[in-house]
Amino acid sequence: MKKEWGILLAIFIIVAGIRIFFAFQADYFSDDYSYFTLRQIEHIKETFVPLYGDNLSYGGRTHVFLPLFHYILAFFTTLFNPIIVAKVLPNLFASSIVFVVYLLVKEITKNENISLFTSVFSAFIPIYFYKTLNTISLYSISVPLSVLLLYLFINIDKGANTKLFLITIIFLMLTHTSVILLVLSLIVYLVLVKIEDLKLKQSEIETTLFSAFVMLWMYLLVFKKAFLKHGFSFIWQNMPTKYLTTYFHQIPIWEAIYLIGIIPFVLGLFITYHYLFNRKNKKVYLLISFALTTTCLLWMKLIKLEFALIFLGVILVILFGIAYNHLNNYLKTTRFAYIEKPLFVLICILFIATSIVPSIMLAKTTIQEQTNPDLILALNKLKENSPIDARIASSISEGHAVTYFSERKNLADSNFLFLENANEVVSDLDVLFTTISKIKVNEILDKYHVDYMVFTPENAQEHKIKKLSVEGDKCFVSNKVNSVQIFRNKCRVIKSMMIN
Amino acid sequence: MELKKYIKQKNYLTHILIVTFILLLIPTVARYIQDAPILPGDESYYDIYVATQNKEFFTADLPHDNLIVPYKPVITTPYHKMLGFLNGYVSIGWLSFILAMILGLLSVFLFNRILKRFKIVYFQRFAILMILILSPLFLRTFLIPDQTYFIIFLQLLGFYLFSSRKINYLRYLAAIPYLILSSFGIIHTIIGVVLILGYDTYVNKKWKYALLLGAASTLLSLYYYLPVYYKFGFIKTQIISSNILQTYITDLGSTQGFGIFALILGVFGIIKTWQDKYTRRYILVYLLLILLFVFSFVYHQYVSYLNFIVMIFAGLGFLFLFEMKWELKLIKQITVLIIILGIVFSGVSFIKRTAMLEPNAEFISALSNVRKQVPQDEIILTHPSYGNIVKYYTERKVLIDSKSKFIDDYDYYLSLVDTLFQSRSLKKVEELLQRYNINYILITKEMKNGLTWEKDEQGMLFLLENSNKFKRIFVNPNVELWRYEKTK
Repeated sequence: MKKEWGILLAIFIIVAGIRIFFAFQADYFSDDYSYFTLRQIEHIKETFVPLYGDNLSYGGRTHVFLPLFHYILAFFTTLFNPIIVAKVLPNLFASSIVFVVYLLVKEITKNENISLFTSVFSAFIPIYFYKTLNTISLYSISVPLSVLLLYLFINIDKGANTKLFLITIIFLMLTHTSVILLVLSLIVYLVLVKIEDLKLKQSEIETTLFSAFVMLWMYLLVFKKAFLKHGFSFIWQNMPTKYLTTYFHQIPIWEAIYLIGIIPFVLGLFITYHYLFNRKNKKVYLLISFALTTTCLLWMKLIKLEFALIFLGVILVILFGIAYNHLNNYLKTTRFAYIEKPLFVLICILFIATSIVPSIMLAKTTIQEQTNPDLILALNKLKENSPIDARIASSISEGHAVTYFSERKNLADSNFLFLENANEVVSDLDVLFTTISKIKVNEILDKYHVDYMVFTPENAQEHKIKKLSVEGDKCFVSNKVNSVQIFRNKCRVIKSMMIN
Repeated sequence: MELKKYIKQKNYLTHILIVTFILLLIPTVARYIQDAPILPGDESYYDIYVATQNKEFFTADLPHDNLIVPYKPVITTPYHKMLGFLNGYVSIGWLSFILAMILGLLSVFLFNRILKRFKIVYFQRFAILMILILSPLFLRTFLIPDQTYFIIFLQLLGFYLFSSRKINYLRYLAAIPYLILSSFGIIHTIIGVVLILGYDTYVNKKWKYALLLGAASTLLSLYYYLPVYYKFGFIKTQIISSNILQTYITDLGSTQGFGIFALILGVFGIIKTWQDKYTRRYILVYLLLILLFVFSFVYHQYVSYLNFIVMIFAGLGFLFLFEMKWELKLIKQITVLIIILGIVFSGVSFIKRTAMLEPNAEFISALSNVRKQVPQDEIILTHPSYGNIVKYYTERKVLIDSKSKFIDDYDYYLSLVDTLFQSRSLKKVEELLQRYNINYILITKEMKNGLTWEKDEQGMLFLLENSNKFKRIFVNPNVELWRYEKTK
C-alpha cells in the first residue's frame, strides 16, 4: 500500500472514530425519520421486503421509497445489533467521503499533499457532519457515491471505469434521488463545455445519455403512481403548505457560509469565477456545473435547503483544493514563495476555527436534539398497556418514533407522499394541540379514531402552548411519564356531523 | 448492423403490420376473456349510440340528444351512416372493432407509403412505424373507436392519393376522401387543406389543384357546419391546463399524450434532421410540427394528428442514437435497451389500461338491471364518464355525458354533478335532485375508489348510507343502483 493511502486510511479511521464517538453519546437518534428507516430495516430483516404497505403510519397507508440503503443496513443487522449498525454504518459511509474527495482532487491537481489536505476538509463540512452524525441519513451514502461518480465520469475511458460507473450509478439510483441532480449537472456540463468551445469526448456524451435514460426509466417505474397522483407536488413530496415554507426556507448568507465552512466557500467561489472567465479546464467545469445546477435548483425551490448545502459544501471543498493548488503554484513563481508554509498554517488555523469547531459544536447540538428519552419511555409504556389497534396522536416530528417504539398507529408523521389530505391532517393536528375547545378536540379524535394523545415538552414548544385543553377533562385519563403526558380518550364521541 | 439482418426491405412492413394486428387485438381478447363488452371506454359508445339512432344526415333542423338533460344537437356523419347501414349484418360493437382494426392496419400501410414518397429509407420507416404503433395516441385512436380513427384514415388516404405524382388520376381521386372529411368538422377540413397546400407549395410546386380541392372541401364543410356554429357556437377550446407535462405525457397521467421516451427521441430527431432543414420535405414537416403543436395547445382534442409528425422525428431520433458511433459499447447496449423498453412500456401500459376500461361484465349486468327497473323516462345520475355507456345500454336519460361538444353550459352541469356527489347536505341534494327530476343514482366501484370520492362516507355516500330517502335497489361487486324516494 502506498504511503498516501496509509495516511488516507488513518484520516478515515480518525474521522469515523470522531463521528462514532459522538453518535454513541446519544442513546437515541436526532431525527424522527431515522425511526422510519429502522422500521424498514427490521422489516426487511424479517421478511426480505420493505414495508411498502404500512398499517401504522397514518393509520394505514402506502410508502414509496428507494430501498437499497435499507437493504444494506438490514444485511448488517443479521450480524450485529440493529442500533449498533444504524449508528456505525452511516458514519462509516459518511467518512468514506475522504477517499473519493482525495481521488477527485488528485485527478485534477495531481498533487498528493493538497489532495490529502482537501480530503480532511471534506470530512468536516459542518452541515454534512451535523446531518449525518446521529441519524440514519441517506446523505451519508449518496454524497460519497455522487463524488465517486464525478471521478469515474472524468476517467470514463480508463480501465474498467465504464462498468464501475454503471454499477455505481444504478446503486445510487436505488438509494437516493440525488442522482437527478447529478444527471442534470452532466447535461449542464455538456452545454458549458460546448459554450466554452472545448472538445467534448464522445464517451462523455454517451455516459450522460445513458445516465439520463436509465434514470428516467427507473424513476418512472418507481414513482409513476406518485407522480400520477400528486402531479408536480410530487417534487415537494406532497408536503403540506405549513411545512413547505420551512422545507425550502431561505437562510441568511452568513449562516450558509457557516454551514459550508468559510474557507471552502471563499476559495471555491474564487476558483469558479477564475475558471469561468479566465481559464479553461473541463474537469473543473464539471464541478462548476454541479455547483451551478445545485444553486439553480435551490433558487427555484426544487430541492431542500439542507440537501443543496451539503452538495454545495462538498463541491466547494473540492474547488478549494484546486484553488489552494493554484495559489501554491502561483506563489512558487513569485518572490513570496517563502510564505507557502505560513499560508498553510494560516489555512489550518482557519480550517480548525471555521470548519472543525463548528462541526464539533453542531455535533453537540445534534446530540442534544436526540429524541426525548421520556417520550421513548412513554411510548414503551403504551406498547405494553394499550390495545393493539389503538391510534396515538403526537406531533408530526414524533410520528415515526410513535410507530417504532409503541408499535401502534400514529395520527401523522413526516411522510406525506400518497396522502389524499395531508393539509387537512396537519391542520387538524395543529388544532388538536392548540384549540381550547374540548368539543373540537373530541371531533378530531373521533374523526381519526384516536385513542391516545402524547404531549411532550418539544410539542409544547412547537405549538407554543403550556398545556393541552383536555387536561382535567373527565373524558381523558392523564398519565405522566416524567416530562411527557399521555392522555387516554375514554369517551365515546357522538358523530358531530348530522344530516341537515 | 445486427438488426438490419432481420429487418429487410421486403419484410419490414409485414413485421410492422403483424405487430400492429397483435397490439390492436390484445385488449379485445383480454376483454373477451373477462366477458366484458368488446368496446372499451365511454368515448366508443357515443358514436355507436348515434349510429343506432339512425338520424338524418345533416338536416336543417338538427335533432337533439334525447338522453341527456342539456340541449345538445346530434350531428350524424357519414361514419354513423356507414355503421348504421352495416349494423344489420354484424353487431355494432364488433363492427366498430373490426373496422378500427382494418382501418388501423390500412392507416399504418398508408403512412408507410407516404413516408416512402418523402424519400425516407426503409429502415427509417421501420423505426418510425414501430414507434408509431406503440405510441399511446395511435393505440388510443384505434383501440377506443370513436369516429377519430375513421377521420385519421381519411386524412391519410386523401394525402396519399393527393401526393401521388406518377399517376394523375389518383390525385383527382383524393377529392373523395377530402370531401367526405369535410362533413366531420371544419377543423379536420382545415388540417387536411393545410396538408395539401403545404405539400403542393413546398414539395410539388404546383398548387392549383390543391387550392381548388381545398376551397371545395372548406366550402362544403362551411355549408354543413356554419349553421351549427351559428346556433351552438364554435367548438370549445380545450386549452391545456397549467401542467403542460401532465397534458402531453401519458407516463405522467395524460389521457391524450405522448410517451416520454418518444418525445425525447423526437428532440433527437429534430437535432438529427436540422442539418437538412432546408430540404423541402423537412420544411413541410417542421411547419406541420409547429402548427399542430401550437394548435394542440388550444384544441388538444386534435393532438392525434401531431402524433404522426412527432413519431417521424422520434423514429429518426432513435436511429440517430442507434447508428451513432459509440465508444462505450456496453453503455450503448444498455441505453438502446432502456429506450426500447421505455417505448414498449408506454404502449403496453396503455394497452393494459384499455383492457381494464369500463364497461366490464358486472357493469353490463347492472345496466341490464337498470333497464328493467328504471322506467323509460327517468333520469339517472352517474359520473359523466359513464354517460354514453349508460345511454347506449339502458336507453335511459342521464344528467350529462362526457361529450361536451356543442353543449353551451357544460361546465355548469359538471359542477352540478360535483355538487350533488360531494354534498353532505340532504336538503341541498334533495333540492337539486327534485329540480332536475333525478330519481336514480348509479355508483361504480371506480367512483368510490377515487374517480368521485376518496373516502368512505364522503359527500353523497354519507347520505346514501344514513338517510332513509335513498334505497339501494341493485348491487353487485362493481355497481350499485340507488333510488331516491321523494318526499310526498
